[in-house]
Amino acid sequence: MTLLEVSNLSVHCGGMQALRGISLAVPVDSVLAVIGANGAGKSTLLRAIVGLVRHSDGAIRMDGEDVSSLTIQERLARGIVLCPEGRRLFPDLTVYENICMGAYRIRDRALFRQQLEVIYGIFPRVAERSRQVASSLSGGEQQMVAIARALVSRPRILMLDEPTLGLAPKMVLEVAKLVTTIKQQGTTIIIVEQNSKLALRISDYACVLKTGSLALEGPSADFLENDKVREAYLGGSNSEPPGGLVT
Amino acid sequence: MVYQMLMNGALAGLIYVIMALGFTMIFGIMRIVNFAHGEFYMIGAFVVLLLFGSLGLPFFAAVLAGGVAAAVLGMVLERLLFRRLVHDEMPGMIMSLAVAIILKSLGLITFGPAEHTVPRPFTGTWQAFGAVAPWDRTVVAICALIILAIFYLFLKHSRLGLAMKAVAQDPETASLMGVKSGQIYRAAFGVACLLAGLAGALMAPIYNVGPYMGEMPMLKAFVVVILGGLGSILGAVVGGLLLGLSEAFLSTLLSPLAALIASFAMVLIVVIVRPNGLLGRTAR
Amino acid sequence: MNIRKLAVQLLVGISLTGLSIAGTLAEPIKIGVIAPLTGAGAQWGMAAAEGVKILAAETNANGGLDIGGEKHQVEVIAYDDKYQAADAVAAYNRLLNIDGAKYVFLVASASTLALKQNLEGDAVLGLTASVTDKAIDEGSNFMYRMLRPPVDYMPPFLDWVRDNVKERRVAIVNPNDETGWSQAQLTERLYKERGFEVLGIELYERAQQDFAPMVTKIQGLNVDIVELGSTSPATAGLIVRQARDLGYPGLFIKVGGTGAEAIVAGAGNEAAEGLVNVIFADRQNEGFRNLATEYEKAVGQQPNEYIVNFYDAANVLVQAIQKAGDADDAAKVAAAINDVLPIKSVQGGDLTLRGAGNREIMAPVYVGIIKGGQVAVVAEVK
Repeated sequence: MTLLEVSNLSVHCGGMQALRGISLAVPVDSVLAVIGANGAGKSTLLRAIVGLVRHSDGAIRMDGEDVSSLTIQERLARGIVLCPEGRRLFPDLTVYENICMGAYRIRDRALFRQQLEVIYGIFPRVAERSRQVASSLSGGEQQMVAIARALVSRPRILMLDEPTLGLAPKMVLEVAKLVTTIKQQGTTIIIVEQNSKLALRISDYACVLKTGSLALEGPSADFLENDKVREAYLGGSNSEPPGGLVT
Repeated sequence: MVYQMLMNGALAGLIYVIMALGFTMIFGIMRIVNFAHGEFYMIGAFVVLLLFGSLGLPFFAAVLAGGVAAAVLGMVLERLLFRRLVHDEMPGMIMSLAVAIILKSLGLITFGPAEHTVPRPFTGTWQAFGAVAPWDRTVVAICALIILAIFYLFLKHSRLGLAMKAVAQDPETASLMGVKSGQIYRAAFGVACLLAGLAGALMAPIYNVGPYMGEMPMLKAFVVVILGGLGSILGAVVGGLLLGLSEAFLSTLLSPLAALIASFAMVLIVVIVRPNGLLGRTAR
Repeated sequence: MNIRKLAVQLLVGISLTGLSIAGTLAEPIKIGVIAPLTGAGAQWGMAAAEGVKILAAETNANGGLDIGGEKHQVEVIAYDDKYQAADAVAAYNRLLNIDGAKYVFLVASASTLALKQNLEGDAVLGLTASVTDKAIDEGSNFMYRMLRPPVDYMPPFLDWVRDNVKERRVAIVNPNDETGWSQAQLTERLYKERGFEVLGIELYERAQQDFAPMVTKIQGLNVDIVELGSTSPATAGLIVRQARDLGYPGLFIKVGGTGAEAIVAGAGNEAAEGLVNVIFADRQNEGFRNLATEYEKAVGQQPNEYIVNFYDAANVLVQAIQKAGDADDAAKVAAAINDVLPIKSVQGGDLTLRGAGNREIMAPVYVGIIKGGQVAVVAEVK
């Protein structure tokens, strides 16, 4: 069953066409990896889905209903949540306050506490650091807080934009494990990654963007097996991602 | 005499703090240098002149009304004029200058050029360590402290206050959390103007009320905010008390002119040595 | 009808009626007023502008000024100088080059000094209320003073103070500008000459409202007289009140400026009680009351006493213009001032010419003391 469907989506940014007629379908409880070179339009795709940038053509459907004319808040209410690139924590707020901001839409105190318990269960480190100011955390910890902050509002589809960028190898692994955990708990995920090997390993489906167009899509397993694809789109087999993920 | 100077400085500084808080808040959240901030102070004072001075309503009711009137006007002007200039510093500044001139002129047309006197709700003095403090100024200082405490609690523990801080630090990410920036701008402008209106309303019986009364507090707020750091709430508190005390000591020991020069010298030094202010965040 | 069409018609209508007025009357005589119409000095400036306007209206009601058989209306143009020299110069240039005025009334010392040379160069007649002695010197042919300057009335005023109060230790308070400086120097000398002890001179900024530090300093000097000098009435009210609040028990004297009522309003009856002030007008006087009524109609408040001096001076000016028989030659008009004086002040008593270069129009001055919130005139300064 399809949860989110993007059809023929085009986006113009400052006179340039950033996305050209992208069509995608994300099935419920799956992980979709969006890969591609820098500037291929991966982040723009996520920003268009969440409503940060306006699309010029096409449709975005959630449960079959077009949400492309809705505001960010209305899309949030339907469970579309973006964890932005570069973590973007509120630097002077504490970890707890950052999580509270993630739960900004939840006005029910009891529900909020319950969600907080769930989050602290998944992220014990975040719980430990809850009184600390966000800017004092390490990069990996900040990424955990950013994901926790996105997760606290109980998204149906969580979009992670470059979650491993600039992280130590050990943290990269931890983020990867986390994605699997979140998926198992029933949240659909779209993950944008430069580290395509990692992305393919943890995803069910993948698509490759090239200068704003959809170049290829299919099950992630096929990508990993297809040497031609690897060479054409993933930058050759000898460029191993850092962290020694290759088993 | 030292105690008297401390007393004078603290009494003056607390009002600077209240003025500077709103000024720095509007800048922090909307990136607008609101030169019309002093005019909201004036509006608060005129409301007290009307309600308390002329109609004889209870003083604190008039003060609240003054704050609310300034806040409501602030929110209306924010929606009509400032919303479109958010994060656009230069046009925002010019718009605020225009608003300042218009409000001042409206004050002049409505109330005339002469300075008006508001009867004093409190009289008498009290003493501590040989320092004398008039009750009316003391009441103002107590009110300022109460306002500060409420403002602190609001920022620290309310959902809206948290959202304001979040928008000030990263508006885009805040919008990803479902914060409607327009609501926050309105609320921030309203709260800032409420603070300015309350300050003006409280000071109405202490100083004279006239269309130009907002200029001096505005100037002080500007100095305080540069000292403390534009956009920094704690900086506004520290800067306000610092300015109040330095003025009190220098005016008494040397002359008011020396105090004025010193306050701008401090601004210069801070701008050169710590461009983000004493407690300002370093550039993001 | 569309708006543009309406606007055109209005414009045409206005210009036609304007032309018809111009056709029936001779060129009006334009008199400029450059005064602080806003800010702390506004009470002086408004009184000045209205004083001149009231006289002009009376003259016009009587058919205008008769010059060589031709009736001229008198038109008063008032500009705000905000008590600042730069604004005064801008206003003056407008008056001279755009409005075409040959006569200008001035209130502030800063403005008077800034325009002093211009008046001589442009042959424009200036009448000033500035009391600084620098306003009129050897080379001033076009500047007249319209009231008794402190050098003239202060010695007898302070004689009265010496003979009638027992306090002797003085602190002098003045604004930090031209008026304040010259006033402070003069008062210091005169107090000392009369056996007073001058223990401090405090200059504050014009926009200042918090005087607690200054009062703290003054109290440290242990004085029993605070001399408020040329402090504006509204500010004087604040100083008196804040000083009383901080426990200053002594006497207040104000040798300069006017506006004792505004001091009372600012300070409160109790704090202002006993303040000794120079008074330029007796508010009980019938002539003054008539002026006050007119002023109240226009402005909605009681006028500052200055209104008398400006009304009287405007009267001297129009009489002199009439006598000179030429509204365009300010030199002739200046010479005619000598001929028309003395004339009666609106308060009664004579306006005479004497003082520096015989260019000071002397008007009556009184000693006033505030009692129960009212100004009581206790003596005339000889």
